[in-house]
Amino acid sequence: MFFDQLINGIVLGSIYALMAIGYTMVWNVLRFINFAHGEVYMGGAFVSLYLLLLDTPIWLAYLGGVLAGALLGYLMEKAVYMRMRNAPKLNLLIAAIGISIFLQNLAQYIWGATPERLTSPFLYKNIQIGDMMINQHYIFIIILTILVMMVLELFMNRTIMGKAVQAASQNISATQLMGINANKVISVTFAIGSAVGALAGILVGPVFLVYPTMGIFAGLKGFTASVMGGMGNIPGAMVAGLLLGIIESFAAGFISSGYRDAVAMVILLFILLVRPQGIFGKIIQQKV
Amino acid sequence: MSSEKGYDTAILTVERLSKAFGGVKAVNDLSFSVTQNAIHAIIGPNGAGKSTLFNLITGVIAPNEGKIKLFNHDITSLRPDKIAQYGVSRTFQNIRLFPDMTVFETVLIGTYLLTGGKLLPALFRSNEFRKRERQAKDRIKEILQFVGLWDMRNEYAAKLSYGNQRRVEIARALATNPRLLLLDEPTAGMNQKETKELMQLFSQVNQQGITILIIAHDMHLVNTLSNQITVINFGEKLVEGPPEVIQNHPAVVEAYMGRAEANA
Amino acid sequence: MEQTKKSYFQKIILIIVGIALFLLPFAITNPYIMYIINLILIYALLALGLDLIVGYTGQVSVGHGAFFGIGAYTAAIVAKKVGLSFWLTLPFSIVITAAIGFIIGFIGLKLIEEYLVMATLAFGTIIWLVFLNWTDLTGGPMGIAGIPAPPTIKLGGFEFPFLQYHDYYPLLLIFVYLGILITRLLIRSGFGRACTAIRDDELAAQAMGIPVFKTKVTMFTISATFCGAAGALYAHFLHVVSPETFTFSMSVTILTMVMIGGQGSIAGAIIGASILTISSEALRETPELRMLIYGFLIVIMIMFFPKGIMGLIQIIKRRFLQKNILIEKSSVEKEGLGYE
Repeated sequence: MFFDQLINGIVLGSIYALMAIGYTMVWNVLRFINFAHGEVYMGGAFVSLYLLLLDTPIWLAYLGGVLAGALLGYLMEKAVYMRMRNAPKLNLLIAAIGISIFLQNLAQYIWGATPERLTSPFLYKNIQIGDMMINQHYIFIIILTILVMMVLELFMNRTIMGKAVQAASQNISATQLMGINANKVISVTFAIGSAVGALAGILVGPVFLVYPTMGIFAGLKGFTASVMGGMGNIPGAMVAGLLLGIIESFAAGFISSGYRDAVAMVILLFILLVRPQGIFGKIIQQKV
Repeated sequence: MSSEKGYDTAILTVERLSKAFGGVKAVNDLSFSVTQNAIHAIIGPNGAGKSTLFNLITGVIAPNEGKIKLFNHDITSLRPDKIAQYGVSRTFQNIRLFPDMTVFETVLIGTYLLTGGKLLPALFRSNEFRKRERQAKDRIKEILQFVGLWDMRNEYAAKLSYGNQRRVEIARALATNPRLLLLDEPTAGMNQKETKELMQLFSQVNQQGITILIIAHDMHLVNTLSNQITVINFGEKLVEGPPEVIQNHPAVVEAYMGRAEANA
Repeated sequence: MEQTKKSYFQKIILIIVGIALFLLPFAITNPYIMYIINLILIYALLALGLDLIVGYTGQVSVGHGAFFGIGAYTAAIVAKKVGLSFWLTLPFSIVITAAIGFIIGFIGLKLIEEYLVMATLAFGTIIWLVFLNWTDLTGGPMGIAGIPAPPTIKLGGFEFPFLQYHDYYPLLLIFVYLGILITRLLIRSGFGRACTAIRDDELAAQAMGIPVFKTKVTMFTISATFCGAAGALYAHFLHVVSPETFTFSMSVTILTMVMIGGQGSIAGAIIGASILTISSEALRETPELRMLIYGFLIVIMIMFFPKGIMGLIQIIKRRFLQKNILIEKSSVEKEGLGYE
């Protein structure tokens, strides 16, 4: 039982960590929380689902979903946020809420509200470790998450664009010094953060199903993880995401299932109350 | 600081103040005091830590070490609104006005300490409330006439000329009834005429018994207006003294005015 | 505030219209239309409440649907389980929403603006889950039905019972007037001015001696209270409360009202409430289309008309007035020349 919960927690946590990366990356360059990030998660999953209906090979459908997520994030930025650079932050926030509502209901209008299952090549296979059976798709989620984080780490530290994104988190105009347009850095940040968010949605699709409002809770939990990790702290977000998933998984065992989603919300409120700079907040403060 | 008398009447005392951002020490072991009724200037090259110093004094940021005393109250690390209650008011390097307010409304915000923010008197429009509101409005009239903006009271503050926007900011600061007024490069970007008029305004403010601590770049302004100058560089105090002394001090000439003299 | 001082003429007209509005039920025979008008009044109170914190103080909440729900459920539970009448359930609702509003404001307003959005979203979700799952108290997904109407009001021999939609209208109108009055009194005080100063420039406001956090939390609490009162009215007006009313969509709907009408404007809140209530009824059959349009409207309004309909009216007014002034001036000059 204990290991079952732990594995569930790690799987959930991987998803939250992937979501948290999107919030934290955008926060780094724009000091703004993209409230509509949850809808990228939902959008990516729906596009994959749609591609599968068209008999696209499964890997291509997954990839298509990720690219669609990146495009969605990019478009949000270009169509709305970029045009509001000089507007008060309050307005930006309200615009993000509007986008979120719009996309949720657009998805519902196009695809309907009935939850549907994404397929996965591993879903109905198990791996036996000792006397434990673990769903292969779970292993797939965990491995892919680790892979994504490694790639992200390489990108951030080994490429000029990655370094520009990092520099932008200190001072957006610093990117100009590196010869890279600030708007381009912001676009890239949105695209990458959104691609990772969409991947989270696609990975969850075979387990928790795909439906228009799936992004609300995932978004909130991803945000919770990014706050726990210290806003703007990418490694912090990853660790906190994992932690949140495990806490939620174990706590859910003690309370009635109806309140399961409340666990993360309570943790969020608690952290905002006692340690709003996050568990690892100190680390980034020193960095800046 | 050397004279006993000067020390006794210090309105603001900064003791061994330090503030670092990451590894960079913006203010380093800085001590000085401002005499009551003085016009005290802080000068120094760009990035010397002048604005950081203002932000420390007004509580926008907290120091790593050191003390700030106002009269005999320790105001170190207090919240900005608490410090304002002690009688410290300020203007900002980049003028900060309220975008949607008229001149009158903007200055009205400055009377918060007079009117207070209590709810029940506001809901029941008590006599006390009405009296305070009237007092606030009279005071604003007085201030706006004093700074010469009464005729423009109904215009949007953000739409005024740069010089007049600065006046609005000063009027708003005066509305809090300060004992110490902090001016952060108030004449930056002004033309000569505006600068001259503002200098006149400052000495009038000072004559009303308000001590002024001013950050400035314009040496002419500093020399004619102020009676005490503190020169800082790299967050540390270089020299201090009346304008006559500072003007000819070799360290200052080298660190700060060297360029100006070379240009001249 | 000299500029916004209305002339006596305008004041008298407002008072006459205000009294005349009480006569509206006599002109309306269709109970469905009366029902819609009553709903508009309840939503107007909600929008006024949210506008206090969003429009006047510049802090966004997406949890006010939950305060509305807490007000409604408190009234329902107190009325059904304790058997108190509307006049006692209302103060209960107000006190409880105020207390919870204070706590959520205290948590959410600590650091950056976005934290409030997320804190209110998390709070709204928790509250919704409680409505849905605490079956003993809230009736679960079925909600609570049979909430009694307010007791008959007896005034000098006259009796005003609450039997049909027409009877509720004056009561609801009085509460909206009360909301407007409180808003006006607060905004034109040191406290209200402090709020607008915080909205426009927090740092400058603080430098003027305004305690930013305290002021924000206070206004947030008042704002939540408005929604709590609206909730109690709603419970006794509809006689039934259920979880699906008080979802995230409700919070967004209230926010849309404020945005469409124009933040920081009493008239704007009422216009927004009217437009959205009517359009909601018109789009009743296709809720997802309704929310789709709301989302789109929020984005378009905030991008191009951040001050909503009232902002547009003001721009038009200003242009019109300026033209008029120019015309008047030139005509005076012409006349002057003529006389010479």
